[in-house]
Order: sequence, then C-alpha cells, then structure tokens
Amino acid sequence: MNKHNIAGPTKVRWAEACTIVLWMASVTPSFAAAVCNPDEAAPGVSATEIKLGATMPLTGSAAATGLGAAAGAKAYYTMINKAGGVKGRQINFKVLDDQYSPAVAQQQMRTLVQRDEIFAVAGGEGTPNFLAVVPFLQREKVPAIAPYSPASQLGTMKTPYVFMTSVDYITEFQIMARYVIDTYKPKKISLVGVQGNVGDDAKKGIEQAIGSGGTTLQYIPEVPGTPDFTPIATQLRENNADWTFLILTDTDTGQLLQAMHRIGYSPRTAAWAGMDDKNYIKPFGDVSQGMIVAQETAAINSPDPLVKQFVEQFTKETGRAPGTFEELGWAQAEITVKALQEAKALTRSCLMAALESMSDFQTGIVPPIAFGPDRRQGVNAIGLVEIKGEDTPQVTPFTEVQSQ
Amino acid sequence: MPEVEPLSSMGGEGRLELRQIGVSFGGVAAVRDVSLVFRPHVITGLVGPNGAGKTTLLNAISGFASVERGTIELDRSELTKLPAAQRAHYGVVRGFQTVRLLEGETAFDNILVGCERASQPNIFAQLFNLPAQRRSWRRDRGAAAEIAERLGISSVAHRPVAELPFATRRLVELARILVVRPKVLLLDEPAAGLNAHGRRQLTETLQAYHAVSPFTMIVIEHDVDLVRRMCSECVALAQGSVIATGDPGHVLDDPEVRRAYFGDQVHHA
Amino acid sequence: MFSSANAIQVTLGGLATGSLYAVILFGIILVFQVSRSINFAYGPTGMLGTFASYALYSEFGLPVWFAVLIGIGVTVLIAALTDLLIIRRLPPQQGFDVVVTLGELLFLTALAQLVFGASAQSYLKLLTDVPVLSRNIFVNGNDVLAVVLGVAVAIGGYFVLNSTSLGVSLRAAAADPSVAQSVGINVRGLRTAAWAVSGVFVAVGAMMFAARLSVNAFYMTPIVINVFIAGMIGGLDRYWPPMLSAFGIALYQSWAMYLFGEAGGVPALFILVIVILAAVPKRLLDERHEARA
Repeated sequence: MNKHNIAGPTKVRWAEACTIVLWMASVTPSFAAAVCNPDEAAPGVSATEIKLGATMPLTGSAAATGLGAAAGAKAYYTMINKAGGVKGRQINFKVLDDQYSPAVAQQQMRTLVQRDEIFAVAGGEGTPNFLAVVPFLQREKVPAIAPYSPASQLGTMKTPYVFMTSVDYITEFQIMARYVIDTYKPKKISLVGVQGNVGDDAKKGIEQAIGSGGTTLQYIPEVPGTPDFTPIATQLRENNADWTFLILTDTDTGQLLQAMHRIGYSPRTAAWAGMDDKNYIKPFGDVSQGMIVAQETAAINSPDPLVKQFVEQFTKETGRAPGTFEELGWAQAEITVKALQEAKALTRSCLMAALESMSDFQTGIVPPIAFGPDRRQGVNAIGLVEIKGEDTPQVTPFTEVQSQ
Repeated sequence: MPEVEPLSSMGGEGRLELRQIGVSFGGVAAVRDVSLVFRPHVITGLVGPNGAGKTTLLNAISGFASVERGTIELDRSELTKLPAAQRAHYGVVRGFQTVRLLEGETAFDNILVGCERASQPNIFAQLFNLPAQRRSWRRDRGAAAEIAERLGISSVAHRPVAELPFATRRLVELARILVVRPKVLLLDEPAAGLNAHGRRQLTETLQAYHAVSPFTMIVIEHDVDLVRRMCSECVALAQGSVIATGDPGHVLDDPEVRRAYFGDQVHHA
Repeated sequence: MFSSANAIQVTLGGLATGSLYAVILFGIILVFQVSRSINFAYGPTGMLGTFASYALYSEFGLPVWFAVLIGIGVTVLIAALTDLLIIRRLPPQQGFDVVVTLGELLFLTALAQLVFGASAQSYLKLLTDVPVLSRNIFVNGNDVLAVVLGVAVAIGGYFVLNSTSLGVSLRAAAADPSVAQSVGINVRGLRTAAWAVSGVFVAVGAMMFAARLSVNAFYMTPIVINVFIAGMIGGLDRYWPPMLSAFGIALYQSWAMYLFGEAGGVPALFILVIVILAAVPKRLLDERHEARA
C-alpha cells in the first residue's frame, strides 16, 4: 500500500476543524473493496435523471472560489446533458451555499442527502466546511467525488467514501519548499498561514523539506479579516527572511504583501495554489511579481490539447473565458461523469467500484488520476509556476513532479 | 429694565385670527367652530372646565394638533397648514402643560435652545467657525445670560436642570420661550404646581417682561385671581365652543359661566 | 526582541487605523445621538460608495477626486434614504432599527457581490504610494492623511456639537423632539440630514481603508465591528470617551498582534471588552440606549 500523505488542494479560508479527534473517531475504521451490486436501492437515480449535489461557499469572503467551481461544474454538466446525458439520463446538479462555515455545510448537506436524495456528492470547495460533513457522508454511505479540500485526514481508507484528487498542504508546501531550498538556498524562511490545520500542515510540509538543513523557519498564524497588516508585516521585516511562504485567503495575501511593501520589506514569496488565479493577479499582481505558486490545475493557456479543449468548450457553453476555479469545477464534473459512465449500474456500490478501477484517467487539467481498492488519493503531484506580469509561466510542470 | 433685543425678523404686530376652527380626535370634536381674534400685545386668559378644549386650541394654534376645518392667520399670514417648527419661526411660541426641558442639559443650555428661533448663520459658517458664526454664537449666549438674569435664575444657570426645584424649572422653560421675543406666546397653566409666592412671582415677571417687550399672549389658567391680575381679555370655552368673551370681570362673573363650569375649581391667591 | 524603529512603525500603523476608526465612529455617534438608532448597514453603505468610486475611476476613467466625490455622494444618498424610507416609518418600539438595518446590511452586501463580483479589487492609491518617511520607519501619505482626518474630525466634531447652533439643534432634537419643534427646529429634516452626513464619514473611512487593504463586498465588516466596540466601550451617548476609545483599541490591537502574533489581535480585543465590562458594568447596564449600543 502506498504511504500517501493525504492530498487535496484546498481553498484556504476559515477556521480548521477543531474537533479532529472526535471527527476521526466517527469515521469508518475499515473498509473492504467496493463490490458492485446492481440491484441495491439507488437514491437520486430515476429513468430520466441522476441527481448530484455539493455544498460550496457562494457568499462570504470565500465566495469567489465556490462560485467559480460551481460555474465550471455546471457548464460541464450542461454540455454532457446536451449530448444526451449519462446512460440516457440528464444530470441534475444542485449546489447549496455553505458560506465556508462548517455548521452551515452540515445543514446543507443534510438537505441534499435526506431531502433532495442526491445519488452522490460531486465536487465541493473548501476544507473546514467539507471536513464537517464527512462523518455524515460516511454514515449515510454517500460517495463524494473529488472535493477540493486538502486535508491530511482525507485520502486514506479511514474515509473510504471520499475520493480525493487534490494534494494536501503538507505535500504541496513540501514540494514547493524543496524547490526553493534547492534552487535559492535561503537562510531563513517565514510562513504566514491561516491559524489551525491549514497553517499547521503548510508548516509541517516546509519542515519536512528543510529536514536537517540549516534553514530556519518563522511561522506566524493569521486570522482572516484583519483590517491592519502593519504589525504582522513588521514582525516579518524584523525576522528578515529571504523567502515568505503564504497560505492565506487571496484577499489577505494581497493585503499583507501591500503592507510589507509599504514598510520597505519585499522578500521573494511562495504561495499555495489559489494565487495563480486571475482574480488575484489583477488586483495584487504589482506586489506579487516573482511569486512561486503551487499549481494543481494546468494553466488556462497551457498548450495541452485537453486543456485547450476545455477552454473552448467552457467558453462555448458560457460565453466567457474560464478562470482557475472554473477549471477546477469542470475537472471535478469530468471525473464524476467518467465514473458514472464506467459504473456497471447506477448504484452507489457500482459507482464506487468504478472509481476504484479508475487508472490513469487524463483530464489534462489535473495530473492523471488513479484510485484503487485501497487507495483514495487519486493525485499526488503538483507543478510550480511563477507570477510574471499578468502571466504565470511554468517553473516545473506538474505532471513530472512527484512527492518525496 | 433693559430691552431684550428682538431677534425675530418677522414683521407685524401679533394679531392672531382664528376662523371656524374645528379639531377632532377619533371622531370626537374637541374644538368646534371657534372663531376668535386676539388683538396685538393683549394678554388673554383662556378659561373653562377640564375637557373644554383649551389645550387642544393651543395645540391647534401652535401646530401640535391638526386642524380639520377653519383657518389660522397671524398678521394676515396663513399658518393653518404650516408645521409647528415653521410657526415658531413666525413667532408663535408655546409652553407645555407639564414643564418640558432637555433633562441632560444645564439650565443655560436649555435657554440657549430657544435661540434657534433667531436667524442662524449658514452651515458653512458654522462648520468653519467663520465670523458670522462667532458673532451669532456670542449674541445667543449673551441673550441667554440676559434673560436668565431677568428671571432671577443666573445663579443656577450652569446646573443640570434635573437637579433644580420645580418652580425654577418653570422659570427655565419660560426663559427658553422669552430669550427670543415671541410674537404670540401660548402658556398652558404656567402657575400649576406653584405656591402662592411662586404664582405672584410668575405673574409679576411676565407682566414686567410684557411691559418692556410687548407681545400677544394667550394663557390657560384655572387660577381666577391670576387671570384677573394679568389678563385684559378673557375667553371661556365649554365642550369645545366659545361661551363668553370680554374682559375678565365680565366673563368670570357671569353666573352661568361660573355655575356651569367652574364649580369648586375657583382658586384664590 | 524588538527595535525602537519597529515599535514606532507599529504605533504609527495603529494610530492611522485608529484615526480612521474615529472618522467612522463620528458618523455612528451623530446618528445615535440624534435619532437613537443604530445603523447596522453602516459598513456596507460605505462599501458601496467605495465600489462606486472604484468603478467610476477604473471602468469610466474619471479623475480620482471626482470619482471619490461621487462615491461619497452615493453613500450619503443611501444613508439618507435609509432614514427617509425605513427608519422614519418604524414603530416606536425599540429594536426595530436593529432588525431592519441588519436586513439592509445583508441586502447591500448581496447587491455588491452581484454587481461587482466576489473577488477583492485593488482600490485607488490615495497617497499610499507617496512616501513621507522611508528610512527605518516607513510612513506614507495615506498614513498622514488618515491621522489628519481623524484628529480633524474628532476636534471639529466636538466643536460643531458643542459650539454651534447646529449642535444645539441636534442635541435638542435628540432629547425632546416636541421641545425642539416648539423652538423652530425641523426635527425630521435634521434627523435625515444627520443620517446623510454620517454617510460622508463612513465613505471617507471606507475609501481610506480600501486604499490600505482592498475593496470587496465584505471588507468593512471587521472594521465596523471594531468601531462599534469602541463606541460600546466609550458610550455612544458621550463624545470623547468613544472617540478616544477608537484610537485606543487600534493601538492596543496593533501592539497585541505585534507582540503575541497576528492571531492574538482579536482575542486581545475581546479580553479588553470583558475587562472593561467587569470593571465598569454600570455603563452598559444602566441606560437602555447604551445597553443596546
């Protein structure tokens, strides 16, 4: 069995799941390989439709990410439905707003599963909000496909109903820090991260990359929504690290960099995967030049034919160009539809069996996906890009980088 | 006594004419078809039993009650549809039946509020403390100090009104009303709650002020002696209608008026 | 271990933030003292004016000063309409203003998200790119402007409320509308004017904060929370205590974040509130209006 760090890029937002111990205790401790049973009851499947659902932040400070992912997924399903759907059935995809709040996510997921009777959870966006619903999904035995919720608790057989396609922050920051240390040999690194699991995982990843090397690490946990970044910028300037790693909301990242710039401190920077989105670069590009950004999805302007096809199809469906989160949502939908198509029958056990047999599935958008009877982490690689002007040219392509 | 400089810029003598005034509350007529002329500078007593419509009539004149029928004119300017604040700028000023002061302020600041009836500099002059603002602020504070002196309340001017005895609070309210010379002054039982000495003092103060700076005054009072002492005209109301007008002696001695409406409510100083 | 340069840097940053808190708080005090209402939509009102100025500048290419003026005008209009269309029509029972303005907060935030999107936008510079000091201590034009505005509003506001006819009218209209009317004060007009003028202060504060941070549909929420805390600590019925609290909590929070880490800023503020509540409970329990505040 591969020893995987649980992977899954997540959109960094609010507080971590502070009930980790309880949460871990509540999930299924062991699971045998899925056996397809075509005769079992299949909620959400009728002769004409397949009901899928997800909760995402559609309002609040994380709304940009959820709205984007929802739009991407919906565009894909619309395209599939126009071509006849899956197994002759139209996909009915419902997204409910969880406001990036664990409590609201729990409520909304109950609505989707118990009232709307969805067949499976398709996608999702955000870590603390998704983690809050995992115990419920495990109890109800509802498969969840490709949520964007990087967390080390997911992607193992402890959560067998959740099929992860995004790298967790430990791996993401380990790969990124390894590259920076090998290439630039910094004496000091600072990390500013959202307080809790998210920041802690990033810190672990950097520490793993440093290993027994001489680079020192300063870690400053942050709470989203501060109106004054001068104190934290001053702390960073005082430490005077060569590199500052960041895992904050995109707004807070930009505002912190502006504050650092204003007090005359401009180190090289590296940040989690959300920073290569045009909605970040447009307002904050001037203070982010040279930033190394983890890449979980292919660049929108990638020459990869599959990516070009996505851009063309998305633009045709919606009349506008896609951004990073639309790309993510599209990939989530594509993986879901692939599993539905491969399933021998439209029951949950058959869906899970189909997912387990997914091997080297290429979307072009994320690295090739492979699950297995004892493997729930479908992707374990990232790439790196650098912000230059308004573009993000590749530094290391994602298909070639593996976790160490 | 030095004359208080009139701050009101409205012309006219203070001739108040009411024509067929009708006021109702919830379908019940509180004032019916009242037509009266209050001559300039004359102090008129308004008498009648409880519920006669005296306070309602004062509210109608000052704009605190809506008039259903009829017109109110002051020196030929129609006031009927004007809001209370605008009538105050015309010079129609009132006291309230229970003393109403700004409880969180000092006596001096309560008097200063009365200066709002005078013309004030524009907003820019005020915000940027231009000469016009400084002049008018000095003028208002001077007038407030002077009226406080005249009414004998200078010594307590900077104390919070909440700490002052009732009679002094009444004088503070009076000072607020008189700091800018009114054209028509409406008083509703100004002597209520005062002892004999207080009543005499109040009467003398009002008469002295009136002698120097005359204005039209309408005063509701149950104290018959006060009405006789202070007023040169008198109007009796009953059930919302006028039942007698004339000099106080004539109205108050009318046996029918006395029997029907005063009964044992007659007070003597 | 910290240097004096860093200490001054942190203090100046806190002072600039506190100055802007004071500017915004003045509008809250004005509305509360005149109409005994708390406007929970205050923050989003300023946010919309800021977004409007951003759009006028970046989409339509209007000059900065003109875009800013129109943005302030938008905020003034929303604030005035809040009184004219909503607050004036409320029944006199206490608490309706809270509920209704909370609803307005949600509506305005959703409207901003719909029209301007959910992403943050980098706002006008407003002198953030003009260095005033730049050796060991970095001060820019926006910091200086913030402090100038804060001090000017604090002192000027006190002067207006206590030494002008306007101030006398405002206090009278707040204390007893009937008395105020009897001396010629147009109480309703004055109240709407106070709401409108409060819009100027939240607009200026919101724009200055946007220049230092960024503008999005939600950025004013944590700012206005801190401003309301300052008002609560000082008492919205007073003047200097809440205004000085605005400066004070920004400095306090700035230092707490610097000394205990950025994540220490919010808990430090709440510890302060609890300590003050414990030490001076009467302030918040005696008077209904202040308890509501």
